[in-house]
Amino acid sequence: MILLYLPTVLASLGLILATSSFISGLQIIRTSNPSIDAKIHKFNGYVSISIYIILTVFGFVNSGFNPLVLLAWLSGLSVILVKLWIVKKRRRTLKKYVSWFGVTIVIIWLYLTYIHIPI
Amino acid sequence: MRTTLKVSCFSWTYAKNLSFIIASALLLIYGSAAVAQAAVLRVPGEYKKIQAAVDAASPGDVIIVAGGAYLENILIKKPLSIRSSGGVDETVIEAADKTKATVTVEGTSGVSLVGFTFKGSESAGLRIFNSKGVRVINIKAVESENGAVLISSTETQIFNSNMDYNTSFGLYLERSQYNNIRENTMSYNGDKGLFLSYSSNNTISGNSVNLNSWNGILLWFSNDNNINNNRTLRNTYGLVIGESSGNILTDNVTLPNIFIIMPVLLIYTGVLVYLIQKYTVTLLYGD
Repeated sequence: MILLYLPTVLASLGLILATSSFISGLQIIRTSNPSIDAKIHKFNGYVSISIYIILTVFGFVNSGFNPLVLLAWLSGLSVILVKLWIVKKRRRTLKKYVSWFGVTIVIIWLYLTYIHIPI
Repeated sequence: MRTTLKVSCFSWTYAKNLSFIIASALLLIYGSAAVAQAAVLRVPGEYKKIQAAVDAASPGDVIIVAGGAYLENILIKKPLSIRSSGGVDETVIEAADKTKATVTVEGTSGVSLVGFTFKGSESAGLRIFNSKGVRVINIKAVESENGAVLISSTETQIFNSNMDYNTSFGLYLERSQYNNIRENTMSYNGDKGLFLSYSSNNTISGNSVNLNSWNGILLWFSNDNNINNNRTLRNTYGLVIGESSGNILTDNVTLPNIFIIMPVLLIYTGVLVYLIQKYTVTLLYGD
C-alpha cells in the first residue's frame, strides 16, 4: 500500500518544492540582498534532486531498465543542474535564463506528478 | 470332501482371473475411447476458418489456432477447448459481422478459451449466454462496444484477461451467478469497467479497474457478491453499489480522479510553502 502511494507523494512534494524553488530563484536575481532566498533555494534544490533520484530508482524498479528512459531522466536532471549552476554563478549574462529553467523544472515536476499517480 | 475343496479353490481362482481380464479389457476400451474423443483440430492447417473447425469438432475436442488475423464471428455451442499457439497478441479475431459478437458461447458447458484477442464488434468481443463452467484465460477483449458480456451464465471463470478500451463496458454480467472474475484488467472503457446487473454470488478479486469514464465497478440489484483485493483508480466513481445487499467488500483500493486538479493545488501549495519558508528563515537568521 505504501509503495503504491509513495511515488505520488514524493512527486507531489517535488512539485511543491520546485514551485518554491522557482520563486526563490527569481527573487535571487531581483533582490540586492538574496541571502534568505539563497538559503531557501539551496534547501529546496537539495531535497528536489534527492526526490528526483529516488523517483528514478522507483521507475526502474517498477518498469525495468531502459536506456532511453534513463536518458530522459538524465536530461531532466541536467536541466536542474544547469539551473543550479546559473544561480550559483550569478553572472549577469546568464541570469535571464533562470526563469526559463525554473519554468522547465516546474513542468518536469508536473509531468512526474502525472505519471506517478498510481494506476 | 477333498475333491470338493479342490474344485471350489479352482473355481475361485478362475473367477478372480476372469474378473481381472474383463476389468482390464474394459479399462483399455474406455481408455481408447477417451483418447479417441479428444481429437486435436488445427487452424489454419486442417481448417481455414476457426468456425469450420468448431463445426467439425466433437464435444471435448481441442482446437489449436496458429497466430494470425482472423476475420469472422465464431459461435460455440458445444464443450470445446480452443487455444492459440501464437499467443494472445498474435492471434487476433475480428468480427466480420460488426453487429454480432466476435465470439459467442451459447447454451453449453465446459468451453475453454485461451490466448486470443477479440475485437471490432458493435455488440461484444466475447458473449457468453446461458452457459455453465466456461473458462476464459489470457484473453484480450478490446476495441468493441463491450469487452465481454455474460448473460444467464454460471460458474464462468475469467482469469488474467484484459477487457480494456471498449466503448461501453469492460465486462458486463446480467443474471449470472457463481462466476469467478479474478486478476483481470477492465480499464480505459468509455462507460464502466465492470457492471453487475441482477447478478449474485460472484467472486470478483484481484482486478484492476482503472481510468474508466464513469464507474469502475457498479453493482446493481446484485447481492452476496465477494469483492476483494481490487483496484479502482481514477474512475469518475470507483465502486458504486445500488439496490443491492449482502455484498462483502474487503481490501479494495480506490483513488478518485483528482489528477486534473491536483497539480494546480500543488503549485498553489508551492507558493504558500515559499512564503512560509521565507518567513521561517527570516525569523531564524534575520534580514
